[in-house]
Amino acid sequence: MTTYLWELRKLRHQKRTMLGLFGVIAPSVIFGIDLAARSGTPNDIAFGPALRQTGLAFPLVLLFFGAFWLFPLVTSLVAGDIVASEYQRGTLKTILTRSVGRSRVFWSKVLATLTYTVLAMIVMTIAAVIVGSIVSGLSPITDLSGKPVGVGRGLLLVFGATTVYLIPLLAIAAFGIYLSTATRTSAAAVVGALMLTFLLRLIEILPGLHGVHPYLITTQFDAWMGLLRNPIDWAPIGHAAWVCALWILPFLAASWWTFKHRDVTA
Amino acid sequence: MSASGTPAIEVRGLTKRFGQLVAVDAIDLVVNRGDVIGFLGPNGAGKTTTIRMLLGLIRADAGTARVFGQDPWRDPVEALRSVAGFVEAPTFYDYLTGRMNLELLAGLDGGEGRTRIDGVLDTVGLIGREGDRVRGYSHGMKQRLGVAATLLRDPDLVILDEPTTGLDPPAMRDMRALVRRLADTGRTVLLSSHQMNEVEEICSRVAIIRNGAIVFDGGLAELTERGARPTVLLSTGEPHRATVVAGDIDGLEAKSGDGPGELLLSGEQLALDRLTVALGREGIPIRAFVPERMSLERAFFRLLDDGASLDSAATAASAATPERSAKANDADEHEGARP
Repeated sequence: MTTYLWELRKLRHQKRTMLGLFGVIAPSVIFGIDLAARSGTPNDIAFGPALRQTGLAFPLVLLFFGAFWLFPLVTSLVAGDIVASEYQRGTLKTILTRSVGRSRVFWSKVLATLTYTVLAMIVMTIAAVIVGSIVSGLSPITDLSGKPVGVGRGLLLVFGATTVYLIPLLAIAAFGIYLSTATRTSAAAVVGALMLTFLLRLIEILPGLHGVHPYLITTQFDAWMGLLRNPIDWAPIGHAAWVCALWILPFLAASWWTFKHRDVTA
Repeated sequence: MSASGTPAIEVRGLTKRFGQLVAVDAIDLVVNRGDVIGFLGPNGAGKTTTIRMLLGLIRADAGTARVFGQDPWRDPVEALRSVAGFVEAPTFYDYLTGRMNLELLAGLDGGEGRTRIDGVLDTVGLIGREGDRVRGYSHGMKQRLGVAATLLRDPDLVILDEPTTGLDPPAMRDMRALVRRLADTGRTVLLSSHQMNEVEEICSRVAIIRNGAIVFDGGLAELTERGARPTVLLSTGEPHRATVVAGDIDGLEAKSGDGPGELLLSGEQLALDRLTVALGREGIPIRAFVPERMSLERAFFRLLDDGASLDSAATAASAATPERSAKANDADEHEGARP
């Protein structure tokens, strides 16, 4: 527990953490300013037309936009750095020669990355609801089945959607941690995790590779929409969970193995 | 805690290769509890690689390393429970303050050291700067924080890797005093260094590593006396006459000393005895007649330059074969090239 808490304290004192949190708040503000400065709404995306009706639409629209690169970047910013920075600063030898085993250090880092990612998405959701409420007020929202949803249930569904959205995001984080451990280079791991997102997005738009689309991490970024149907469609959510688990487990297992057995020469 | 009879460090046939390069070549080393041992060798000789293996940071390719009877690679937490120190420069989270770094390390140790933080900061002279981020620390302050982190555990075995490297003379003096105090408390100390005077000042025993192999392991006096002819410094009011008298004695060699009226005389003990008698007989006054010890530095370079001849008598020494030397030289370059 102490090791995990110290990982969190370390994150709190690093600029990249603050940069990541800035990255999830800024889009809400930019959206708000944009809406205030013009008429009309982005009608070609889910919940786009609802942006002027209710602040509840803000986080949902952001989930859609953020999936392309912003939220994967915010995630990889920390995931790609969390192990590599210890190698690069030479601090791994400092902590590994205390009363703490390698496995505990590693899993504390995984848990800290997970905590940061969850926190970033909660901050994003809260910021989006606040900015959305200021710009458009808080009114009921129409779900994807065309049925109205009250503010209370709407808020619950918005946070639920964020939770579902975290599933593929954690898969990106697991890949970032793997690259961070394997490359021992922060920049390579951060960029590499983002590159994976781009490559999977590329595969997603190629019709010839249609067969693998349901098994890509990035495809699961749409699973949250199941919550916004009436009745709730749990199928895409369950699918996202097991598909992402299949990505997460090997990445984490490989990272742990590498971390546990590699010589610390820095 | 292991049985009190277990050596603090016991290394048998320890070997580490980096690819084709042999950085540490089947070394044996036993450090008993309470020993204050200097671990000497030129840069890239294998000192740091050996220490990393002792600290469980890298895995040995062959042989065994035991710290208080435990394997530091398999079970670092247990093996290093009463061990502290640092390898190469001590490293810290530069975005945290000095105090936070110590709090973190105390936390990882289970929290016990937390009450000692103020005390160790005081010991290393960092009180007043402990609230600053390590990013703003000078090299010397980081070294001192490294010693503070070491003391936090109240260790039985202290491993320090070149603690005075890069320090200015006053800081170097303070650091040596600090290490001396550590040694005086009965702790086992392994001090890796290439500063001869430092080791001479602090250690009673030295192990010298060259090209990945231990070429000497024994008492400091044994090293400095071995192979050297007895030499005395004679101070007299009549150096010219004394030189003539010395010249008449077989097997005695006389050179001018550094000061006025000083002569350096080397030869077998019997020849030196004859000299004192002859000086007395000739009425040449003897102001001082002081046996000169060979400095560790001279002994060290002698050993490195002329390793094979001295190797034969050393405890752990075995003459380096041309093949092994070539491999170890490669390993030196490898180790030296690492950042």
